[in-house]
Amino acid sequence: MKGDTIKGHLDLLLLAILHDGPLHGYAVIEELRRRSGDIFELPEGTIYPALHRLERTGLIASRWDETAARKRRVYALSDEGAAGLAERRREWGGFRSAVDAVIGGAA
Amino acid sequence: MRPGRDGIDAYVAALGTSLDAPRRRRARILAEVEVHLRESADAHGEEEALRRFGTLEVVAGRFQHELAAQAARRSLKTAAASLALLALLCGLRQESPLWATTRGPLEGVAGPVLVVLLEVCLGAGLVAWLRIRAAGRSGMELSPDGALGVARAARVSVAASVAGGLSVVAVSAARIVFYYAGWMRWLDLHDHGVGYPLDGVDMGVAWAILVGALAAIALGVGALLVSSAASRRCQAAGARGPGDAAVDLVRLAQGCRTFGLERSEAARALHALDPRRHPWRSAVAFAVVVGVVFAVGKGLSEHDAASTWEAATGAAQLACAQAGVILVAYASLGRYLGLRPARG
Repeated sequence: MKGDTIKGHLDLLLLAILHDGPLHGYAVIEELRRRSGDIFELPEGTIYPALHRLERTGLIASRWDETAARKRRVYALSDEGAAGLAERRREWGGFRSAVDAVIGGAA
Repeated sequence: MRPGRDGIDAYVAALGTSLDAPRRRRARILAEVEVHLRESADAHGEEEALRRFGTLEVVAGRFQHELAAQAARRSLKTAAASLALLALLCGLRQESPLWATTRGPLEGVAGPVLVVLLEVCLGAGLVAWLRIRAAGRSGMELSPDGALGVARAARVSVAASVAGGLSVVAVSAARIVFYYAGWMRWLDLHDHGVGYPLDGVDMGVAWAILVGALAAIALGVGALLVSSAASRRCQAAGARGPGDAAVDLVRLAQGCRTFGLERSEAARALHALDPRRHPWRSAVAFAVVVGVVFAVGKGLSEHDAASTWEAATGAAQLACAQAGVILVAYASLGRYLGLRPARG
């Protein structure tokens, strides 16, 4: 699936991944790839602007982690982000149901 | 040297030159990108790591989109603070304190704010309109998601320009009318509560206020120019690299080819004063020109000149002084405000 297709849902995907615990950027994209079964062909560099946008809006927070061999920026879901994730999940559920209803039964 | 160091370093360096961002922000972005690429290169090799990360154009464009939004917010805050400062300065410069006069404080502050706000609209609107014209001809949308159409943006910018232009005309006309009628001198503000920041004939403190007020105007204009340009800059972050206000000016200058200016000595001199390449040189040169105009105008106006001429030269001085300070602000604050490309 091309990046443009999932662009509108990237915030939801990132929040869902960070819901399971703090991760640095490279680990986020690896987890995204693992969970999607390598379906999402998203240029890895494009998740950072999305992470920064989520941080600016207060949905996630970040800090430098210097305990690893390389200094990494680690992102974690905030309380506001957890609430935002729940809201987005509800919206996605409604959207998916509506699309399924329009296009017919699942394969 | 680690294997693949050159490729990743080159990518990070190229990304750095593509981003218009404050120094600390850019440093954070580049540090994150470099760590990511190195971790990916350890697992997949440098070439695959760079391929997975995305082309420079795509990644820089996405970053620029986010940075532009941040710059717009920052500049709007700066503009609001500048206008508040200007209103305060205009109020303080009265011979009697604002609170000691018969008019209310709101009246005393609202006049200068409204006048300056409309002038800011004029500057921002004109530059936005120029950019929109260029974008419209190339058929591109003005916002990344296409939500802001060319026609709508053009209407907004024209409205802002007209409002600003009308305010300038009104202020100039009021100066002449009031002078002739003897109702009030241009600089005699305290009976009317409508003032203008360049009000420096009584010297001393007034000069200090004048400098502060002009700086505030420059900040406000610069900030709103950023707001209009930053929201569209990501559109230019393609093969031609990030755009800035100077890109618009260069395009405008290119329209002068039919006059043969490009081959002339004057054109070469203007190239040497390109504000993007030589911001300080161009700012100083402009300031010198403004100073000469100011001095000539002042000299003429104080030599028993007709009052109309005095009013006209005063208005010219005002316009030139404002433009000069704006250019100095562009040179000194342009990078912070996002008007100038980041240093490579």
